Amino acid sequence: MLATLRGESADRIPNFNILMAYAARHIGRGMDEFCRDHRVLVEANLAANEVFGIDLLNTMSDAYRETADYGARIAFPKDALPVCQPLIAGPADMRLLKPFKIEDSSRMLDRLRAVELYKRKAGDEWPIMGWVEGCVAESADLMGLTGFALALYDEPEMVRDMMEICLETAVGCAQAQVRAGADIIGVGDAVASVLGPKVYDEWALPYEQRLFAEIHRCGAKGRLHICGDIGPLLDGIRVCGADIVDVDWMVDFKTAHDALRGAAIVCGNFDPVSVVLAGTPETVAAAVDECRDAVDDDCIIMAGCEIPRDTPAQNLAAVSQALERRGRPSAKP
Amino acid sequence: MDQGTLSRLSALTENGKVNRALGRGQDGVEEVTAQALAEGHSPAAVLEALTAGMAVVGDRFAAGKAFVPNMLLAARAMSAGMALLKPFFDSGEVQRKGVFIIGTVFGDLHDIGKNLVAMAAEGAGWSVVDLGVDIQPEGFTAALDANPGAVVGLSALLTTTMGNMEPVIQAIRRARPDTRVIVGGAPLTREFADKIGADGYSSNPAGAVELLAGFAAEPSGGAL
Repeated sequence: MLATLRGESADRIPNFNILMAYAARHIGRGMDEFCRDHRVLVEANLAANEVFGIDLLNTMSDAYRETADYGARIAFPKDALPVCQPLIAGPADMRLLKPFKIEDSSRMLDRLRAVELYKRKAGDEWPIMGWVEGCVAESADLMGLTGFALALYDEPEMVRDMMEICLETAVGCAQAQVRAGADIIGVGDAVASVLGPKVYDEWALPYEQRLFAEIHRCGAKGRLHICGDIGPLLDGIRVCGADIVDVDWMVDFKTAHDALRGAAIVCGNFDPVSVVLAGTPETVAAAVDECRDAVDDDCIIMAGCEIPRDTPAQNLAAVSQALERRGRPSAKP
Repeated sequence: MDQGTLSRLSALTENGKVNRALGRGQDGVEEVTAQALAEGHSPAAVLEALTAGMAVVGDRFAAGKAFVPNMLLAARAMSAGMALLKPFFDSGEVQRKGVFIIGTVFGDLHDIGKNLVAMAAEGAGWSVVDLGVDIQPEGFTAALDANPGAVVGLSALLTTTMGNMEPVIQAIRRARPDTRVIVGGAPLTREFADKIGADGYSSNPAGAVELLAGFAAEPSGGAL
């Protein structure tokens, strides 16, 4: 996998499919346990990686680890994603928001423990990916998306203060995960695509640049994940500093690849619902081949976003089977 | 009467200018709506101007040229004008196009897509009953009992909750078979909407408003 990132010849194209709810179900555990207990998360991902040929040890579970540690109230339904009550409604609530250190936290400390456990169990076999929320996404989690989007216009100074706090915390959490053994730090700035290129360039990009610079400074690679249509953001994403950029299914893979050529490797990008959840092993294999062909094998393969929980196992297995069948990637131009 | 006032109202709505307080001393929709009514423009014409501004943003959103903040700002501005029109709605001088009940289905707590569609529908002249998120089938049928003949919109963001739309539609069909139900949400497709028996699907708020316009032109009970 790391050879792929260096642009060197690799045995095969890496499979980075994102498993969360699927992994929990794979070992018969609830999503609440997966989100709250790093031992469950690690067991689930290790088991799923073996069966489905995933090439990365993933610490993702939900978007609210930092939010919880800032003090937001989180509920954990048994078989669904956690539910977060926004912490910040306006400037008066900013007194509630302080940067935290991972060793003093709860949910982010649990993620750190996952990195440590992966390192002990399988760190020589697979690369480990730690995770932090991007500053725009975290601010939207703290305020709720509607509140955040309006605050960008009504309370820009407050938003700037909030994002500085999010950045300070994210840098510390990323550094600790790298020290614990993470090879890659993923940055989830999930909502950036719905805010549009103007907001992305003004608000998200400067913080992503600072965050990825710190991730590189401590020796790790950086991965950017933004859900949805990042097509309008590609010019900005090109200079954000990420080494890997996830490309969701509605974006033309070749367009993204060409826009990011020389800056980052693209990771994607077939439809997790119509292709993986509702498709067949044949449609999945065809989608994998189509992605590879679009970018002459200069990519990492995954569905554009998380693999749905109820995906048929044979469809998920078809991803790695398709990668094995085609074998060694074609030589890079 | 100055037709320029109505054009200005549309432009202010489109650009999300609410009022003088939020606009650093510049007039917004609130002031210009009051001005338009004072100039003698009919409430219906004022509503049309607000709706036109919102529709521009909705169309740009559907085309990928506008984004969530633009929609939110425009909807907030439009609401400032709608508040001044409320007495005319209450008196019946201005007619709504119908009632639109909307909610995110049970198990799903995401609201941004639902909110955007609700705002666009209100901006297009519908009376919107927003049930919120995590709504059980009984929540929708109870809202229909209170608003017979309403169109229902179902939202879901997650692949794990989109399947919950089907039992909601079934419950609505059992309670009020003629009800039109539209669905939307990031993981949905038209094929999925057809499979679960929805009467319409849209991937964006402007498309949802178009579906509603079609239903308004052909009230419930007619062929779809």
